[in-house]
Amino acid sequence: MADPNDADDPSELINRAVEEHQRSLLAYAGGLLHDPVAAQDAVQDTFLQLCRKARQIAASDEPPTLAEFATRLAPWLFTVCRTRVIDMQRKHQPQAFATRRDPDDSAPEAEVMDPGPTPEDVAVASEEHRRVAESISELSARQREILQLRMQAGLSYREIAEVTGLTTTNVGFHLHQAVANLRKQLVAT
Amino acid sequence: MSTSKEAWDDDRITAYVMQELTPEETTAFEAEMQARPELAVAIDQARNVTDQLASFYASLPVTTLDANRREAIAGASASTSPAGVSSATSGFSRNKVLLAAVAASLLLVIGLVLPVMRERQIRTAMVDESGPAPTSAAAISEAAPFESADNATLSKMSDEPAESSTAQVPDRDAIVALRETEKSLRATRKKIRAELEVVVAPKSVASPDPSAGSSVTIGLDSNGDAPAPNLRLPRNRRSGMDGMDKGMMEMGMSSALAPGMGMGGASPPPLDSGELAQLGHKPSALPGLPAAVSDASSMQGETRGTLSGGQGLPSDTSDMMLRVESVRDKTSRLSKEVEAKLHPFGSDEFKSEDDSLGTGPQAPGDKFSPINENEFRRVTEHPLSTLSIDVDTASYAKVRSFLQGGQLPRPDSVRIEEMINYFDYDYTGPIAIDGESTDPFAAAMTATVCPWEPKHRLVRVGLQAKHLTKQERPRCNLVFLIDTSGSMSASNKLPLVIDGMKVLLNELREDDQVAIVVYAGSAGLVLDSTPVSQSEKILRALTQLQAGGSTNGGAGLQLAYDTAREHFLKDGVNRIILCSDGDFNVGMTGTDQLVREARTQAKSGIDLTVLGFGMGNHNDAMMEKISNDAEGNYAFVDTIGEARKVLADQLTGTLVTVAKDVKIQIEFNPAVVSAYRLIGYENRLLAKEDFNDDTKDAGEIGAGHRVTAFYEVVPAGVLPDAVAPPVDPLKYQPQPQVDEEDAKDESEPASTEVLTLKLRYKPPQGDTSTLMTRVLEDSETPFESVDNDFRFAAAVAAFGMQLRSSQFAGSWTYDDVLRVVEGATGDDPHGLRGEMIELVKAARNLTVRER
Repeated sequence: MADPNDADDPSELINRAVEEHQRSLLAYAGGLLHDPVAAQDAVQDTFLQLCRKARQIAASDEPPTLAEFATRLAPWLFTVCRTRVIDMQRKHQPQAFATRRDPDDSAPEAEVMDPGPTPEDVAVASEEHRRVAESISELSARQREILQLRMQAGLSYREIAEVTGLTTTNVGFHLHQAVANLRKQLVAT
Repeated sequence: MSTSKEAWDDDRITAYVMQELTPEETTAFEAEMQARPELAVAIDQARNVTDQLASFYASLPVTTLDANRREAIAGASASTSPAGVSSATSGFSRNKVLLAAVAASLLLVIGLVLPVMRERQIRTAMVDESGPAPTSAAAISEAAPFESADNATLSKMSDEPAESSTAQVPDRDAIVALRETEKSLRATRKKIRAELEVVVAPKSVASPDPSAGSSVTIGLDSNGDAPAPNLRLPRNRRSGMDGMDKGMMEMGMSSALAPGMGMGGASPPPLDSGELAQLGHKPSALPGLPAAVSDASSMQGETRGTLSGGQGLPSDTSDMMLRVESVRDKTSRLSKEVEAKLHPFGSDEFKSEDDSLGTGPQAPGDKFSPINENEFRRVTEHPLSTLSIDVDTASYAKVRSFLQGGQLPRPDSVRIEEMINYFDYDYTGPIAIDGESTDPFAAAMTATVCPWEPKHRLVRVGLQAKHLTKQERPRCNLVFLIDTSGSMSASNKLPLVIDGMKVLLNELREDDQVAIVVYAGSAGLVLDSTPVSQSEKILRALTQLQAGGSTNGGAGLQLAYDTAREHFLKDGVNRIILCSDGDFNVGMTGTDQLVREARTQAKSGIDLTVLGFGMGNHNDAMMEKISNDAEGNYAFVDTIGEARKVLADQLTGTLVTVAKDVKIQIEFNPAVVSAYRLIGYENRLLAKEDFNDDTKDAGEIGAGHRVTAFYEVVPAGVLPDAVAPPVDPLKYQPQPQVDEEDAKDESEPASTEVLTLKLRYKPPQGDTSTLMTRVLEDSETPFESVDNDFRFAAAVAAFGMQLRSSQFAGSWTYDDVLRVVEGATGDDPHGLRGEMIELVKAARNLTVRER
């Protein structure tokens, strides 16, 4: 490793990560949870988990090194955050495993319930933005989530795939569907 | 705008606008754009959309973390000590002598329980850092759930010999440090024992378990009867400790190292004091754990002379703990050599919670049962060889991962029969398939000169089960039981499960049923039994799966069986497909309980397939046991290619059993054979009486499956060096040898038979077995002239023996394996044999370097 201090000291990495990613993570979690405090919780937990992870990596001689880990930090953070959000949603809607869902109930347990943002979240936005918000709210949950990860968090297709568990191709497909749907609303033809 | 509508079907448009196309794709797409103006229009529109989106998202109010949360994170990031430890430490100050004693005894427990505790401790830390001042009560109550962990589990943990990771670079400093601390440990051991005796006797407190409970209480007593953690000890009490000898200080140090050494959660206590050892085995000592940890860490601080006045957590204790932690982690990866020195208990392996993507094949958590190779047996004493077939292939995938990761596999991970059976061989199946119910499989034998020991013969026994097409096979009722615990989050685990299931969905018929049960901390039915015709719904459920939480395999298994039973297909295939990394880390970790459940269910017609994913803490031993004892099958999936092989190419074999309880018994003719050795199948041997005993379970064989077994046979008149000396003839027994008549009448044609193969199997839904018999004549066919498949399979067997450094490997080296494999790849449609060449080369290079 080039900088031994960096290798031994994960706190620098953590501080930078918080600075760099807290906003997009909060926006993402907020969009999923519709609850600013819960979003704060989720993001805090995400960073605490990062502390643990970074420590683990720093203490281990095995790959990945901290520097390597830092290069794919963003998808890691969003993955952790997403898992956390889903956990919180699960807790919110407790379901004993013995109770069955109706077979026709299409929402599987592990689904992100309702990714945002929704119009309420952006009441102060300008007219144009309100139009965009409205169009976005008409997208499917998955499309909204991916759109957010792309446009707000700036993740690449591959990274989004990593976070959501979809394939890269699938991400491209969903994003394109989202853009295509929005076009109908937003672009006069 | 119909043209643009059509153009909009191309999702490269968005990818192009978002600059996600590769340079080549971009060039190609731009060229296409020139030719199709409507594409350019679409791109303009897409750009318009993304610009609006960007502007919109940029306009959203930006929030940052609350100040107190920010602080909590900064705190956790600065004190890079193990979270549970540091938080439990803050505000503590203690009476050193008592603490040393208590810490010493309780730390023993940590070695046993730490892996379980770890996650919980970290969670404790989260609570502490954001919430009120940490209290030991909180720490204890956090730990409390584990108190209820059943005794069996705990005592099992402590009874099991810890396993050590091999082939790791020893850390010299750590070794030296450990040796030193080991020394001082020994030096202070007596003293501590004396202390304990003094302390334990008068102060034993009402507790369900006197010996364990008392010591915990003492720890609290030393704080002055009040368990409040922020209690500050009067200086004089502390200064009384100044006379404490250095050895005691070091004791704190070595104790702190102990958890590292005992990370496996399975190492016996490093002290041999009966009393201490006893403590170590008592689960009731658990609540004291966090306190004990904090003791250790405050001792650290004191050894370095930085703790002033014993008030609170010295600022660099955490720093110290970081170092201890790092030493500990290094320690946990020490070579066997050191391990043996410090743990003369035959330790084997550490379990760590490293769930990083980079987890190598030698991941500390991987567990393998030991294999004792079959030896040569004299035909006069053991004329019969009996075994259950095994169609598992997991070991090969495992070995491949090891080698591709640049490491030699651990010998115990090499199951030769699974390596041989991994490959496809062109055996002839049972004849007359059209409607006529013939045998479910065909058996054939071939003999040749043994390539690695020319004086011996090599006999191949090959079974080929009948093939079923997609339409011929019965309907399937499949329940996927998917582990979504945190340990599955690695890209070669859950994502691979999901991709694998997508592959499988394509192979299923529309009238097949699929359900998905996930299990993590709790189990849940994600998708109730759904016909494959609604694949969209199944896919949707699949893509939403996320990893998180711990694993409770038991509850999930139960739910999966319930679901399967609800949709039971009477004449169809009812099967649970368990996808896990085998790390059942909650509740009854007991393999036995899981195995028992699976076995009972198998009797009622619901079979089990176990798919092992990923490498880190892959509990091979448990997976193997579940699938073996519950008559299921088991494969290890490490790549999408492997998923395709198991779930697509061999799907009917994986799903449809054509015969069960398939047993092989071979009777050797002592007139022709003096000794024999079965290669592989060590954990599949049966007693000779079991062969005709229909109540004894054995392996099942799926449609299209092949099973190959090799015997190395020693012709009469030659005896291998390795064979055990003969026993003296029995004095009081009459001497009717089993094959006496054959042996005497050598002129009779029957005497040239090498062996007789007997097979017993049951139909998948039957209880009575059918017998099949084949006879093998001796043959001196040179190895070079047997078919490709034989030579290849023999080379695989030899490869396995090389990897195991088997004493039976004969004259061969990796070079011989390579030579034969290269000459026997045949068509190799999937490139599997070609891949094997690379593996042999890798193993050869690694071996050269090691020697």
